[in-house]
Amino acid sequence: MTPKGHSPVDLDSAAPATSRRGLIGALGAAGLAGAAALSIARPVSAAPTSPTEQDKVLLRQAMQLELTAEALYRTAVDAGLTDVAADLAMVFAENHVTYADKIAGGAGFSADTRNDEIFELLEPAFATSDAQAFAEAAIALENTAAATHTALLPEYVSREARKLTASIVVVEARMATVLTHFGDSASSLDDLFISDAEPLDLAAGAAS
Amino acid sequence: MTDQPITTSRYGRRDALKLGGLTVSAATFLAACGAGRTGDDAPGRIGFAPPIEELEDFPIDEAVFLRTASSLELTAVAVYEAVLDTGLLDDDLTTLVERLIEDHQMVADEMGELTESVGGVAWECTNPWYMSRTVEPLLAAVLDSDNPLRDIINTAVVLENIAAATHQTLAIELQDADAAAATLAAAKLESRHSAAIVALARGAEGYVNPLIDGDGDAPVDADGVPYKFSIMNRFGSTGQVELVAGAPDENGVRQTFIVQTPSLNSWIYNELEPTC
Repeated sequence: MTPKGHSPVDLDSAAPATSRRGLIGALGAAGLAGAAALSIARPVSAAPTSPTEQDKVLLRQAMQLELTAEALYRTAVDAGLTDVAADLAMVFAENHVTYADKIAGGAGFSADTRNDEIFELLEPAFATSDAQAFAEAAIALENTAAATHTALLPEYVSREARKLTASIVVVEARMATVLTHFGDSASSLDDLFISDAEPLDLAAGAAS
Repeated sequence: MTDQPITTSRYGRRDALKLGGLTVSAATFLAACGAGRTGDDAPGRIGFAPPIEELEDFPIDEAVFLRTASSLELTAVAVYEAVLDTGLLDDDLTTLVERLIEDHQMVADEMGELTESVGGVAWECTNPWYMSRTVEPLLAAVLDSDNPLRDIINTAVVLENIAAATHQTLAIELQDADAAAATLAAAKLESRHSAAIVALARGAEGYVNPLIDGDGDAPVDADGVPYKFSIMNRFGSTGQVELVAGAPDENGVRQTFIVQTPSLNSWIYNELEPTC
């Protein structure tokens, strides 16, 4: 195991980065946290099955995040990743586009727009053929995506949106762990099991 | 061919059928003649079997969900402690299993606190259904295995997968916001456990299920035991999990254990007395 290095996708300029996992905090962690604090526990039994109009606004942002993740992995493949790194990038790209399709399908819109702001911010880190650099960038992406969906989940009213989100979050957590192992980035078991990544404020950065 | 004489019966098969049909028709006619009858209309019983006891219909509420979550966490702790007792693990695996015990105990404690916060009584024992139906026979098979280390690792993966799937489900079912958040966090943690166990045991070969899209036959090892992967599916599955373990029998067949997320027979109802 090797010591953790500082990631090339550290976007947190306002405050010192405490770890690799807090990398995408500059996009506005406070936005979702504030919204989450205002959420009210809803009786699930009374929840509608299909996404509400309010859900669809958030689901569109979630879908755009997934398409952004897919595009970032394709960027890494195009940059010349090989072997296991390329295999992982292709599978994970497919995972994310599948999530985007599923989110869009459930909400009744097309999965056709990524979040350009997030893409442009992270693209330089993913445009690499270096396996370790790729792993560092992708770990941050997966942990942040999982944190973002986790923050969104209590905001959804419908059962379908909540169920789908939970099923995505747990695999994004797995992807982060696999990437941590692949990148030899774990200095302890904590690095495999724990993420302190902050959620993105998608409303602030999402393309409409 | 034989030279035996052919004997004939006075009644053929057709006669017997006719006679039987007539008897049934007559019985039906006579039964229909009865009117205003009272009494038990339950199906009749033959023999001396004891009467069937109606099971109580206990409510399933937030506390039951959380008590069950605690019970699964403590079941995981019990399994890992039994695994440590085998003495089969090297130093790295021992460190990993000790960490898994620590994490599961931490989640169990958290679920216990949440149980009390929703007005229930914290459950501090293993899940009796899982212990008797799955864990005990599974551990016996593992200890008797021709490759116990492989079976221990596969058992750990299945255990983590089922715990993660349970929490994933509860995160949707629970109405209490804190409890829902805690179960989703547990689902993520245990998904990471599962992914890490496979990655540490098998390296890059174990990262992604080549059948992630569901096509083809499941890859198996030299002994025909299905491989586990860090990422089995594109979405978090809450379906049943299969585990092949133990030594092969005389036909070369190993036991298959089916493990499912909790249901009516394995909930820790509020009325259930502690089993430890």
